[in-house]
Amino acid sequence: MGSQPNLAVNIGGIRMKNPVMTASGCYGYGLSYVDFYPPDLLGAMVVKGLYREAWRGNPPLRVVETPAGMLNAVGLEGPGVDSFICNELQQLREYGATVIANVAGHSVEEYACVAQRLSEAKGIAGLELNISCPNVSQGGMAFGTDPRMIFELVSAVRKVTSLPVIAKLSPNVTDIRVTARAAEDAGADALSVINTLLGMSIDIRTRRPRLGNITGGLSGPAIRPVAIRMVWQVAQVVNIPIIGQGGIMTAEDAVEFILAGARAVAIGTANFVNPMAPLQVIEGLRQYCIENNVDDINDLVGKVVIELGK
Amino acid sequence: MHQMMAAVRGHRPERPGYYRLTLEAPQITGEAQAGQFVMIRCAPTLEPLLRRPFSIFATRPENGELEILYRVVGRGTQLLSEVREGSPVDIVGPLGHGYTLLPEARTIAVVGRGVGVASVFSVAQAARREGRRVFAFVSARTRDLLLAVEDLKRLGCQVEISTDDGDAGYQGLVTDLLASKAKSEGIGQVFVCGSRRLIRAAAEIAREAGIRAQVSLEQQMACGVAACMGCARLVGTPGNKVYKKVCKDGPVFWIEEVLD
Repeated sequence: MGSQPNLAVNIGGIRMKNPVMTASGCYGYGLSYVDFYPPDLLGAMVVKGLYREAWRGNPPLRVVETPAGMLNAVGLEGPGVDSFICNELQQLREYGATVIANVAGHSVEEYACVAQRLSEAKGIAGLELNISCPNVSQGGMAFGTDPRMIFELVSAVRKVTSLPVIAKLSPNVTDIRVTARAAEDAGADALSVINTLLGMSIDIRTRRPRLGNITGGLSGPAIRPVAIRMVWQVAQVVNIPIIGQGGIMTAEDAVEFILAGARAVAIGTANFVNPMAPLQVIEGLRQYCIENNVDDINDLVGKVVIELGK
Repeated sequence: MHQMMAAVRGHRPERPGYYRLTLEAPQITGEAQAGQFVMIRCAPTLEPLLRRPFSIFATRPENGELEILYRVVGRGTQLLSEVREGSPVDIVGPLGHGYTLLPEARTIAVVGRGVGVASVFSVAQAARREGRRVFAFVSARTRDLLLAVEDLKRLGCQVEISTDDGDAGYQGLVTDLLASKAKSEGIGQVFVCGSRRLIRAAAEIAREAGIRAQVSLEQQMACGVAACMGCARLVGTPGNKVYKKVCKDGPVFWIEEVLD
């Protein structure tokens, strides 16, 4: 038996025991799955988006199943940042979980305010900026598709926090490399690639949109090839770590993302299908490394073999 | 709550388009309370992708079994209906907030229309285990679609039925039956699962008679554990409605909270 492979990674200053995270919006505020496994087994968890105040979210229906995926239009319902700090975060600290808070806002000022409050709280390992949610009328994707707004927003948050800052990029752009560079230039320490794809579903009997918000964000295995392509594209143009996400169900899926250029991966919709998916991916990555003589998972990052002209 | 591969102990058609699934799931059965539900992965495929929620119809803790009574409505439940005895089924549960049996309600009424009977049967079972008197009002479009009538009788419930066409039992609204007994039999609590129309009618009868009532709601959900916030419904008092999660805050609510 050889030695165990190293699975530890460093994402912009966040040290993680393994590269498997849970994606924002798919893990509640961190406590939904504690009955299934201790959350400190994860590399990190990214909790659901936090506004300054409690937010009501969108009207039902909020979720619709689609081929190999789902549409959601939850609209960032949540308790607000102070409630999270006083309640869920306290418990997550007791569990020893590595917590990354997802920051949402309706203005640059609100993003900065939420980031500042989270930075003052104990137990936050990093901030992920939600500049790409397709389900909110202001903020969200409106920020995430304009490179100038991304630069302004990341810069504003950078000024108020010493925590690692991760920008979560929207796939709903013509060229994701442009928005990725804007975030890096503004001081982002890492990038989450990708958020959901804007989608729609219509009930042909009623002839009405199924979602209460009309459109929603598509996630799940259906978007995985798009996400892998975008991780690969972004990896060509930035020097900061990438957290790959979009339809990862298994360790094999995660390896694809890592080969495309992701240093860590986040499990999203798969949590809903299989609560144990994150742990199975961690173990699967360990087995992949052993079977393929990989001593350090970091050695796999971006190692897709592309031979043009063949 | 638990995730497990539960062996299928029994699986048979109950009525055209309806099935009864018996699973060996001792951990879930041991913890389940009336009104809770489970999420089942209907097939190990990417389409359908998500689990489906099912009310826990009945439990038999003495042999670790739980029963689901379900209707085939789409591809997921169609695939589930094809699962054979002895096969494993991927199940998560017990989930949600179940019924509250008020201690003073020694006589209760359960009202279920269609597959809604599957949810209220569980509270009838719990009430009978405690020796309470149970009136069960079961409704369906036609005689063929009446569910769980014999099960309720075997529990010792006093069962009355209604059908839309009058082919069996009372012709008309099942809530007419509830209304007549609510006045004469000292019913202390009502439990309802069915259409929006049924819920509204039952709420009105309960309000007039001064009886507390609970209702089990359905909503599309992705996770079942309050991670996705997908199953929101407006719940609360008039003028103060908030979105609550059917999976975690429910599926059972006090009936006055869910009225439009």
